[in-house]
Amino acid sequence: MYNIKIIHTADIHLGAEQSSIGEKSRQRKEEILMTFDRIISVCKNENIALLLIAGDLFESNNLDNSLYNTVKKAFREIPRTTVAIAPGNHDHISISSPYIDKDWSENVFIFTSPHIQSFEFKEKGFRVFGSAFNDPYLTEAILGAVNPPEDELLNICVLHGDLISQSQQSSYGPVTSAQIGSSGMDYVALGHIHKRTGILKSGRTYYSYCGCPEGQGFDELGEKGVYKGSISKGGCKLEFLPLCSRMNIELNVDISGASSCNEVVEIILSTVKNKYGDGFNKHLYKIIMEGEIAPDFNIDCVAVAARLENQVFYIKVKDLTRIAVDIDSLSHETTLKGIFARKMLEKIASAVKSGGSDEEKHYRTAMYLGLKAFDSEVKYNEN
Amino acid sequence: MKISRLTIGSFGKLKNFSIDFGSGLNIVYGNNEDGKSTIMAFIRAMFYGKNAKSSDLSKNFRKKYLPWDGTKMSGSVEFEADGLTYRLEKEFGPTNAADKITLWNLADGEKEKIPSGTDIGQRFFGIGASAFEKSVFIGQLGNVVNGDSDKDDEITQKLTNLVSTGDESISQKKVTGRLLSAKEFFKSKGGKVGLLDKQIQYLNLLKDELASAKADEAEKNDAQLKINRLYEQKASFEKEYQHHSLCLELQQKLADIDRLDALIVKKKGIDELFSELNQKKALLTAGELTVDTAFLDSCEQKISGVNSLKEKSAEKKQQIDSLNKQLDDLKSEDLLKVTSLDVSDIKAKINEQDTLLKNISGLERDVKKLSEINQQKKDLSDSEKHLSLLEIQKKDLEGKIDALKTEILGSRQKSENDKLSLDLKNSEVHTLKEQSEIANTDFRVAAQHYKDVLEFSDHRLEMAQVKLKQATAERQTINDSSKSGINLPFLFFGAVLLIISVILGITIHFAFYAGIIGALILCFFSYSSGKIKTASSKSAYDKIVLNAKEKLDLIQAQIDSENRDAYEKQKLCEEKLAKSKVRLSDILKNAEELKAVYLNSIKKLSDLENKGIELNTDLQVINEKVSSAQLSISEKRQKLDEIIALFPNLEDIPSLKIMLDENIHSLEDTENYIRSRLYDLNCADFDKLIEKNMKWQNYQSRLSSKSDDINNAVKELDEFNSELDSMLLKALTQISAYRPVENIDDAVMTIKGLRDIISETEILNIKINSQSELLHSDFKNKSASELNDSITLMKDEILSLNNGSLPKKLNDDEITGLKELCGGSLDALQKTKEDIIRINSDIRNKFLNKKTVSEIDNEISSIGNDISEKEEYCGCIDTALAVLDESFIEIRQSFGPMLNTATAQIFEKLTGGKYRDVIVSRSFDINIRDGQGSSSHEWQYLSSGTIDQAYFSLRLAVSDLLAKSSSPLPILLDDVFMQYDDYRTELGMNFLNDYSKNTQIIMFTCHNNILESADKVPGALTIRL
Repeated sequence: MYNIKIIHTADIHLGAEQSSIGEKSRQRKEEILMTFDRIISVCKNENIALLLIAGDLFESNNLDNSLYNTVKKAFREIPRTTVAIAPGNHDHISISSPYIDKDWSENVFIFTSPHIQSFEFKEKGFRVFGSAFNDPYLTEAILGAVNPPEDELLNICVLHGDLISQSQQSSYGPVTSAQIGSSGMDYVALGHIHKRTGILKSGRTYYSYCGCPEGQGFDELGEKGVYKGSISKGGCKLEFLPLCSRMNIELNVDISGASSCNEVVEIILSTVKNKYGDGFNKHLYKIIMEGEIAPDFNIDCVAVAARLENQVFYIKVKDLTRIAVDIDSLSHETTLKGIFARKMLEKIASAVKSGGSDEEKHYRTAMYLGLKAFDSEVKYNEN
Repeated sequence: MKISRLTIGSFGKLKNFSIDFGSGLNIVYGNNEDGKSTIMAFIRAMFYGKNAKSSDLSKNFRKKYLPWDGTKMSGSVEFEADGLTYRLEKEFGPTNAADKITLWNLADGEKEKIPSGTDIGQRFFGIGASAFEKSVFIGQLGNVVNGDSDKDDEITQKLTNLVSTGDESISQKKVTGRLLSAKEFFKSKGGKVGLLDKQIQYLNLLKDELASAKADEAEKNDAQLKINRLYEQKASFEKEYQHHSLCLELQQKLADIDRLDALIVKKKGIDELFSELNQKKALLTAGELTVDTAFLDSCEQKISGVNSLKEKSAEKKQQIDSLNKQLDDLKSEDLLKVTSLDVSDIKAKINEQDTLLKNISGLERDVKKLSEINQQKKDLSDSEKHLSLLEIQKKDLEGKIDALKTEILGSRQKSENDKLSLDLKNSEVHTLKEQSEIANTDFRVAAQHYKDVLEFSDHRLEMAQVKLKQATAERQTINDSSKSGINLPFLFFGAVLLIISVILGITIHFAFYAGIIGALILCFFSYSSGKIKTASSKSAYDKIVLNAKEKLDLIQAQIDSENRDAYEKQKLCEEKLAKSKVRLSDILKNAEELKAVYLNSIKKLSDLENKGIELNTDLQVINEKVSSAQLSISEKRQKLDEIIALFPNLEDIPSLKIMLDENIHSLEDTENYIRSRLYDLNCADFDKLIEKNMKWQNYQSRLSSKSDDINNAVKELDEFNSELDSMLLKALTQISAYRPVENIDDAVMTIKGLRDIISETEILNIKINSQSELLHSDFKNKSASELNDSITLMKDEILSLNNGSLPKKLNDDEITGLKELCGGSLDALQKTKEDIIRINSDIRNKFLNKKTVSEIDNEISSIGNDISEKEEYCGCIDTALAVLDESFIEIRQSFGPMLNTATAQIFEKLTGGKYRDVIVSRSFDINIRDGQGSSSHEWQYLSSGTIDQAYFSLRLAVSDLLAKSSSPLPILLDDVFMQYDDYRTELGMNFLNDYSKNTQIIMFTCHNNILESADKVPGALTIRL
């Protein structure tokens, strides 16, 4: 019975620039390539039989040839690893796509059709199935009834697609759990969603999203990497292998009681140090300041960020603090402020009663904005 | 609720301080800095621990009131609430949570439990810190200075805020403005510059970009379709090309079959050539020997060696004959014998001749040199004689000079003596001249003195006479003036003063008439003083006249005496002057004579000195001549010595001449001998003799050389003959290996025959090779049958490629046409491939680094989320604004009228009915209506005291309304009557006294009059800090 070592990766987005982080974006762009190099090193050092790339290897298909050549060279260096690529919506097959080039090394197998194709590697003990985006959008189901041969070879599928429920639609290669379950595959390696799932199972088929190996924004938080392990008939032993250079971290920090910029910075720093230890400074942070502060203390997010800039790789600060006020007692005052507070509390209570959490949040925010306006200027505060 | 006692352990500057309050009106008096504000802050801090923005009292009170000695803040407050008495004890920590609070119920002595995080104030008063401050603490409005518009605005604002928001520090407009401003940050009025506006603009741009990216995709797809078509074309061209290539290949194979057939024919021809070749090769074999070119070359080389040696031998013989002939010819030559001995003999004689000639020449030179030396010696002797003559002249001259020197010395001595006498005389003359001048001066002085004495005497006499006259006249005047008795100067001044006073009195002011009185006084004074003076002067003047007469007589006597003295002195000087003039004249004459003598001796000395100079010049000339002659003699002597040194062995001239003659004779003998020998040898001169000697020697050497040549040639000839024999034997032996030969000619013939056979085999080989080359390399070594097999195979192949039939064989033109077709399809195929590559490359270059649909989609999604978030934020601001509006409407509808009513009640009482209402209109204009209600006034036109009363009324009313729900809170007033006059203060005190029946009032003041006013109020408790 075959048991093969695989790496499942996707959404590397080589060539992407995270423009929102300013001058550091160039460095991050290079770091994505370095992460890709680490994946290649793992393949080389651990004799990985199959490297599955479930789409969006490249940020786009309009990139410079030098990048394509770097990738081709890297694959050439792992001749014993079969590389199976299912182009995604970002690097879909097109006339400008590098995937139609003829100079890929022999170990690289690229799917070029939106319909399932396959390559068989009898001597290695597996078949690889897959499809490709040939347009930025792909609304048809990407995984039909494949019916692979029921023999000793492992049937592995690599797809870039959007896992949806039966009733949903998607422009990005819709695929359902049921389709996966009836595909007859041993493992379906999915890409497109940058947040990894656990190892899931539908029918007798295992499947997962491995997520992107390098987060590229504060919507791609936490530790990133690949799935690595072995696949056998009826067995899937894949584990998450962290490979990212640095993490995007969104952290809510309670700065209650702080009364100066320095104090705020101290609280933030001690929080991140506690949470991320010695290597805290290599990450990218989005700090959301919370808690209650004195009505006359206006936090300047730019100043806070300026003080933290030299401490960490990148910092973004957002102020969601609210003024320290006893709303209940205030609402009993027969003053404009008191009446305002009372009316707001009534609206919040009504929203809570009707179960509208968004509505409640809305009124609560409105209330604190209003109360802030009684004391000082109201400023949307983020750097 | 009432505060009965405060005990401060430590708070700000207060330490171990306690104060008791009454339940009604309390007036706390203290100077500034006595701690009034600290007490108010303490009360707030005891009931509300948290900081809240309101006033100085609550801003960081934990820092502000930190005891100066570093101890912890602590204290207690006893108060009464809901009929019970409590004591609240507190030890303050750094934060609210760290405070240690104990609440004692004094009724039962039990501690009350206090849930953590709750304020005591909240529990007892039911209101928060902010509301507590607003209701409990009331300050004054501040000093109102008329005309200060900023202050006016501030007061308007405070009053308006109080009425519109219930809080003097909060303005509804400001709050609304802040919220609107926050919203405008996102959505500007113009809809362009707000953050959200810009993001929406960017989103729209992205959407345009997306459309463009989609168009790019469409263009890429079109290009892909085009490429697909090109791929189809490429396939078609490939097929066409393959078809034509196959046809060509088949034709090629057919041609190959034909070529193989031809090859088979050729192969047979070659086989025949091989058989002929073998026959020829057999002819070249004899036994084990196979004749080849090398063998023949070796034999021919040997034969050629034999022939060459034969030729050399014949040549050598001819050479010997020729040499013998040449020797004979040489021997027959007739040549005069001139030996080297002859040459050396004559050469010796010639050398001897040269020596003699040299000797003669040397002797002649010696004779000449010797004559020169003799001449120089004579010259030297003459010079020495001339020198001795010069030295005698010199000596003579020196004697003359010495004699002249003595004479000059004597003459100089004399002239100096004469000079001395002359100088003495001149000095005497000078002295006499000075004396004469002194005598002259004395005379003139004496004459002048006499003249002056005469003039002064006249003057003095005149003065004395004048004084006598004056004294006489004054005496007379006194007699006359005693009759009038008026002092004129006083009278004059009096008159002048009178006139001035009258003029000024008329022109300026009547007061100047007072001057008339002064004038009259002066006049009177002049009259009376005159009288007194006259009486006393008469006797004095008599005395003066007498003195004057006496003085005149005395002066007359003095003058006479002085005149006499002066005249005598003048006479004496005149005589002295005449004497000195006579003496001077004598001396001058004497001096002239001495001068003539002196000049004479000078002239003589000068003549002698001139002569001395001339003699010295002559001596100098002689000296120069002597030294010149000495130098010349020295040079000549040196030169002579040098010549003599050069020729030390010179003999005398006669002996030299004898030697010269002897040499001349020897020379003649030698010349005769040489001439005779040359003649004998038939030579004109010695060179000719040498030439003939050379010729003789050359002849001898040629003879010898020729004989040697002949001997050598004979020897070589013998060697050649021996070598020839050996070589011939070798050649014949080698050829005999193939076939026996007897002589060289036979051998040559044999070799030639063999050479012809070899040549024929070579031609055959070339033919065979040439034929073989024409065969295809694959078939080169194949036999005809094998070639036939190949043909069969190829035919099968053609049949296989051409569907079982043999194609028609095409002619050359047809094949050329087919090739062109094939080339054409290949070109088309190539062009299609290039087109595919070009389109691919163009598309890649065109869209390189351009954003793709997916990238833009991501960006749109990201910015969309951001926009939604900000929209929501703006929505929250809108909600806050809406609720603020609602709240404002509510406060205006409910709070406004209540406030107006409550304020009116307080204000009327406070002003003793003078004013009734403080009315705040809907537009928040503040008016104050008088007691009759007949007219209202805008607040700005009222006194500061009235405005303060209005403000106090409003604050108290607000306080009432704020604390409506709870039991009355104590009210702490901070010098609220400061702006009031006494009457208003009294009214205020009465009002507060009345008000304090329900509400405890604690008023702080630093004004004594307020305290005094309070003392008059029966219920008020006054406390001094």
